[in-house]
Amino acid sequence: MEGKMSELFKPALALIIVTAAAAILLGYVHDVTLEPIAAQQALAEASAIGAVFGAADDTSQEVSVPASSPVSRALEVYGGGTLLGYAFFTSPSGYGGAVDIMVGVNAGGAVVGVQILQHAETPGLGANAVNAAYTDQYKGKTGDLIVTKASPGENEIQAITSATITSAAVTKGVNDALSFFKQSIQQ
Amino acid sequence: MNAFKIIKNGLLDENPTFIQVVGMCPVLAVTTSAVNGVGMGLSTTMVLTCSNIVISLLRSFVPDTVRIPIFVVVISTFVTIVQFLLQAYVPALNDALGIFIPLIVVNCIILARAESFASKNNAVASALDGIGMGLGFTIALIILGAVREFLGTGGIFGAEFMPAAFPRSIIMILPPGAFITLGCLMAGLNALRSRAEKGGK
Repeated sequence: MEGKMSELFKPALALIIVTAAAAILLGYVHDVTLEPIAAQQALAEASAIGAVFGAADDTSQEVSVPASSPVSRALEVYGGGTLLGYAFFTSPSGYGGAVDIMVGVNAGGAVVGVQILQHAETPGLGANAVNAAYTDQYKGKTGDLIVTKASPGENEIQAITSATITSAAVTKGVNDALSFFKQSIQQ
Repeated sequence: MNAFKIIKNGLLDENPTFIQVVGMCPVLAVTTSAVNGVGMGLSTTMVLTCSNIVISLLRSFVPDTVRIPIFVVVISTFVTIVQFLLQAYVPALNDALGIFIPLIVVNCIILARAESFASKNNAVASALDGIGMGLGFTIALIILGAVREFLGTGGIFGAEFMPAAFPRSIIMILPPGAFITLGCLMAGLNALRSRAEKGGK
């Protein structure tokens, strides 16, 4: 009986000690890095907004977004006191996971620019979505966009060769942003 | 303990990718470009070396029956810490490697070395084994990634230098290309090795 108890006791104790030490260490590192991580995300957002709205300063205002919307955040972008447009953050599902994008829309409802913030798409294929050659297609669009493999028409976006899923994901993100703009902001 | 011998073991004699054929999932999935190979290889090397050291230091305290769960806890703790630190202080590197870091936890090489080397040798030898195996893995990834990227996009490390007339086979960047490249490389290496052995006799 005693032998059996110590057979269970030692391994259990070893497990408890190791997992407790790991948990404490992880909790500590998490706390220490919480603020720097939030600061980095804010920096990445600001540089995305700056890339799309050249004259933007840091006086952007939050616009409330319902939890059911595919848009996760919306900002009114100001520069020198004037409203430059709106920035919508959304994360459509791509080929390798979520694609975090920022869609810049001007007050008239036309896309000013698209920035891809984070993605897990295939290098050489879907990853080429970050290139201006692709995202420039979205500039000026206002309506519901469709992805096509042929030459794009009025409300069409030409997909990246062999990366239709990625192209469809970015397009969905832009469509979601434009829908939100039309429903909630444009009056 | 010969430091050179341990590292050479990981690089050549028991190369985790070409000889041991272990941890193949990231080898196939991640080598769509040379730079991806570098990033994944170096991050894995770092986690492998650190976890080898810790597991080696703990080896007399870990009861045999629960050694695997304890190894897994140590490895995943390291990976998570690395991820937090990169997100907080080196965001550029985090963006480049982002998806690969969580993938390191399921890399069989790390558990294999913990079980077969680190739990039976001292910390210094274990560290060297981690470095050797990690670098062997990294070199395999770079070779595979470079071949696939070159044949698939006409360039290496993002620099396209082949003329437009050079045929770019997109299939090389897709999963079938990974298997094809790996098979050809292993066949070539096996041929070289058997010739060297015959030559030695």
